Amino acid sequence: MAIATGRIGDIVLDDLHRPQTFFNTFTQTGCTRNIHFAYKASTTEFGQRKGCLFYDIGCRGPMTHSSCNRILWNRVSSKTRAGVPCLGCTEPEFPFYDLKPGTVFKTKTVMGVPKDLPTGVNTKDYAVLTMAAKDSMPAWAEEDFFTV
Amino acid sequence: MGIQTLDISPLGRVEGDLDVRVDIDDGQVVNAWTHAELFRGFEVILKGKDPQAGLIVTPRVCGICGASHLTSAAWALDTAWKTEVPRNAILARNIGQIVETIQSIPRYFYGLFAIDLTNKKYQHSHFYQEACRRFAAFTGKSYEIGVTVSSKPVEIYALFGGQWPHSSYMVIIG
Repeated sequence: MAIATGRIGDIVLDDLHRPQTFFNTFTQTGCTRNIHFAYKASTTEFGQRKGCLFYDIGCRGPMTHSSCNRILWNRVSSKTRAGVPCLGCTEPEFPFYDLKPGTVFKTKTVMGVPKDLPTGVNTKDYAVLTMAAKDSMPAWAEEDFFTV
Repeated sequence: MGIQTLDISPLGRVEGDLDVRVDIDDGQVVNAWTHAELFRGFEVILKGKDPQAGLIVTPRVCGICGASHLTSAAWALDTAWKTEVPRNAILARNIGQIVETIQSIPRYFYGLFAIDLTNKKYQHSHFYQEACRRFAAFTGKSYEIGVTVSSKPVEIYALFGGQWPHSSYMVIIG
């Protein structure tokens, strides 16, 4: 489109020569589950409407650069909205852990803490944040509050 | 004059590689064979991986028919683990495949096939002018509509799977 309208010069590329506008935010940006992410409320099964997919079923939304939840897929939805975890398929390292047995659709943890943390967050800060978030989790965070 | 054999390899305007062999007797096609001989090696890639890796890797075989590959991958796991798939899950899988098929019909016709009808080689045909008016890439009066509507059916797929293509929404037991 940019080429057709003669505006290719307006497209800024990132380090990997991708249009920056699509890859400077995370899959999590605009995710409907952010509210559950904040309180560490987890989704334990595919397709569940409540909870965040990051804690148990291996969502890579917080560390994957994409526009999936800003510019919706097919104008309709995204993986995380449908209850399927982000696999990080826009990252150069995809597929992660080489899809070794036990790594698929599963959050890798070290002593209960996710091994891969949201981009830019260190382990100590994350632990503090987790305690505070779990302590302050409201009851509705564990409820399925989306109407069918 | 005996039977003439015509080998077309690869056949253009199809997704992937396809070879066609045709037997022609006195101007009439009397027999035809198609071979899909491209080996992608996804079976080799999946060796030693997590069983569920098939749900991630297999749909990425193709950007136009991923649902078919995802369906096969999901059913393969269900068969291997002898799981009982709920009726609603079967319906959801089938809807995904159906809408993807509906998507591919206008996309193939307007995006790949009909453009060829505007080739100069057909300019002596009665229908050439009309074909150019309708099917010329980007400018034909049916082209834009055809390509635009081809993206509509997969919106239904996205409602179930979150995105089309490359969704992994068909999982074990539904």
